[in-house]
Amino acid sequence: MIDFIRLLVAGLSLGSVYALIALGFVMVYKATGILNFAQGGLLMLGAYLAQYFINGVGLTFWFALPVAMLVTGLVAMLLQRLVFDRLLSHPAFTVIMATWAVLIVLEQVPPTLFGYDFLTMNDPFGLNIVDLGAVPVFTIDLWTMAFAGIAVGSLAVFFFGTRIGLAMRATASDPEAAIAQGIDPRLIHATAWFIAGALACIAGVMLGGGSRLVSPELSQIALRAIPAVILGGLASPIGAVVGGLLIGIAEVLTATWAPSMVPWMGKNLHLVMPYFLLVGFLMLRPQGLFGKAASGRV
Amino acid sequence: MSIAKESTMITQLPKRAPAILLLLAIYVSLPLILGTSYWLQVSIYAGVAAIGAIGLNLLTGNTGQVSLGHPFFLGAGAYTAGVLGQDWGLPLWLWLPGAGIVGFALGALTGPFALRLRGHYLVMVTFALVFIGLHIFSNWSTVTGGVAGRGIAAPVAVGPLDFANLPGLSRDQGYFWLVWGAVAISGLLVKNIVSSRAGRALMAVRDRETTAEFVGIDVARTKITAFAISSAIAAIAGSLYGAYVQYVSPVEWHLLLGIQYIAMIIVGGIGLVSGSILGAILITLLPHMMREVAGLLPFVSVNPTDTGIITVFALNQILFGALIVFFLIVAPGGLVRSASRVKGLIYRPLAANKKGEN
Amino acid sequence: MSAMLLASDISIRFGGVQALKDVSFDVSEGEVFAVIGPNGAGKTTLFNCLTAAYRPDSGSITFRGKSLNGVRRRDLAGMGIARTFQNLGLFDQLDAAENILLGRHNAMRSGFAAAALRLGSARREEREHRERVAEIVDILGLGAQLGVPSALLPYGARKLIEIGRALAMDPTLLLLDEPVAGLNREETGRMAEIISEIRRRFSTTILLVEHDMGFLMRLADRVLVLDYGRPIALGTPAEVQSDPAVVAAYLGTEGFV
Repeated sequence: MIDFIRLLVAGLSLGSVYALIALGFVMVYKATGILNFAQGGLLMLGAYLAQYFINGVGLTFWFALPVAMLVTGLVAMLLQRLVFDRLLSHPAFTVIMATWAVLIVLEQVPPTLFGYDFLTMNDPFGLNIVDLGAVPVFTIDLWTMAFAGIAVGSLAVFFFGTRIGLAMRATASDPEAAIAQGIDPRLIHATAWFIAGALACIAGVMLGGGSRLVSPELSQIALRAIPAVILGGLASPIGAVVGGLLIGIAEVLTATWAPSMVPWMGKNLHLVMPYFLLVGFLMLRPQGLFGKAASGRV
Repeated sequence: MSIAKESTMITQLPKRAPAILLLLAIYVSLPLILGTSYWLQVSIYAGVAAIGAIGLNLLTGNTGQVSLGHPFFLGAGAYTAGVLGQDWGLPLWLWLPGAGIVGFALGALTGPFALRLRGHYLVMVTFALVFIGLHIFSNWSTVTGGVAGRGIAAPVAVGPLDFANLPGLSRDQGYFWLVWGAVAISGLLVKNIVSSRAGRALMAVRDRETTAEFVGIDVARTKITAFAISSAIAAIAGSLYGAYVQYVSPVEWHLLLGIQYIAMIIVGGIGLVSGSILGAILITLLPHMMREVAGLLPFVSVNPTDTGIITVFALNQILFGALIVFFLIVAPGGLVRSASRVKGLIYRPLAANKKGEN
Repeated sequence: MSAMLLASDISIRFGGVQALKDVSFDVSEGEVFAVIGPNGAGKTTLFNCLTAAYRPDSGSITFRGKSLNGVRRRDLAGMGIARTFQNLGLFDQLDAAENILLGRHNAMRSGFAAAALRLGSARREEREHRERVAEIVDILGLGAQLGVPSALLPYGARKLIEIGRALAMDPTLLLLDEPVAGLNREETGRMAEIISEIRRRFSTTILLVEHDMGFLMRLADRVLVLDYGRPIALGTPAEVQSDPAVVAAYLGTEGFV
């Protein structure tokens, strides 16, 4: 039982990273209708920037993190201005390919700036462990879950308590009416991308910190969060979080049990499990757990 | 581009005889000119890419089914070449179509997944397919050799004509003719499809599914057929690739390859066979040209020991991504269409001048 | 004359709105039958029920004795039923002939293999059917518009192409969705001529949905008038025009000549 709880906690902590990535994904989708496959690239950039601010510039973690978030958010906004703004009237296929192209470019930037070596974040959590009852948990994992929770809470406050948040919700539900009300869509898009960038940064820092390393492989890991948005529902922030946690748990459970239970399904089944879940959901419930079924009479 | 134009392009074959003769001349002479140059190798890779791109364009360009999953079918083709050509010792005229059949079957199995999915969701499912494929390729050791990969020693002889061993000619030279012959055949087949009733059905499914249904088109069957044919062509490309490089491992069939193929059809021209071929040549050439140019630029490091601000690989990737974005924003129809527009601009003034002179 | 199309007690409800209630009528072979009514009367809903776009909650529709209940959209072409779309299901980049050629899909047989290999049978079939398309282009007077992507053509021409595509399907029953909506007086007159010509030449049974009563007066054999989803009159245009219920329904609205 203890073991199961330990697995659950590990799953939740991995899932929290996925949740943060998925949240950023949903932010952009809800505000602009764009599937931002470049999210992983922003994640990588954020992680490397934080690493640099901590180790290169000498800032403390708690100062480096928000600065890195700010820079990553600004980079995301820049991408929106330079690339995605020009593609708004283009078909979905074009925009999707543009995000892949941006990802390919983004993936090269951190290693070029900071080198191809695997780097340590040197965060304050390190390898510390906390004992919750009989279950030992990495401090960083607790903080990851906390950050995910704070992110959701902050976003809720932002969307329901501020004027820009309200404007964003309006734009998401009826873009034309929103424009008619005088809401500038470009401002909405810029805000959405900024938030996505900031979220990607936190996710990257958590993913590259603790017992792990900051490496060029981070963006590939981020790809496994994409199934989370399908599970949760493309336009649902709650869905993103729930989906992320579920994917994390599924991955950890698969990693632990699959080798003994279904050895014939191959090694490293846990790495492909998110994609099986993705296909499964697309077949059975494409709108995800929290999404609305696509209506269409004709 | 309108279907009328594509079909008139075929009926105007006699008019385009000079262009065809030129292409034929290049086909025959290029390997002889390039000799042992490594560019001959590059041109073979370009040929394989062209076949793959022709297949993808049929699915994505003509039928509107965006697929990132191409690497899966390419890989399946390569492994089929290994099993049929090497393990079972079958000759070229059996293993090559065999790869096509395997690709066709896999595509037909994948097609139904695409039926209910549109746009974003379809991209997602094909994206997942790449990773599922990687998992299968990494674990099915008996066929694929697992993570370590496998050799592919498939014979490439048609009767007395052994492409790998043409008298007085190198293996590369023979392979060039084999691969680019396959490019011509697949290109022709696809071009014929596009300008036919079947091609119109594909386009109808892409542009207005409802009208397609009312005209009597079986949309589901059309989509699945498009997947199947596209995957068959991809598998053939993969099998030729495998036979050429003689060794493949799962890492080759990764997501970036799928994106590269999409880039080929974007850059060359969506929905056009000529676009597929042009795009394939350009995207294949890009990293190799980069390496040449990079040697001249002091801040670019080519070898691990070089000093430089940026590696050639990174520069290549950045340029690749920028190229895609550039085309998407500026010329989403691809180079072939832009070229024909430019041609229109040039020819019209010439014609006007001629009239004026009379 | 035999009933080609028979609709009995068709009812359909969307949420809280009863869009159609107990609509019954029959269309005889070779007839031009019109469905008319003020905005929101349910004409388009009825049209969509007839073309398998909606499934009525109750009632039945039979075409030549065969029930259209639960029929798949793609089977309509084979049954001999063709329809036009109000918002025009044209393919923007194709020209008039190619749009119309799409209507020949069901009449042609060549599949992918025959196409890929350019078999003689495929080439012959392509030629034959292009000739048929040329005929239709002539009837519709679209010869001057060939070679131009349909998106660039004037609205009147686009409407004709839409009909051309439906006509190319050699339909036994042709369903026209507001064929003169958006057309001026002259174009409307031309459309009436063309529809008469189609009926005369091909003996096609035609059902059309329209607002323009004047257009229908010349053209329709019988008219069904709907109001709030219910049938309020059924008869010849003259009978219907003077029906007090119809007059009351249209009172104050345009479209009543």
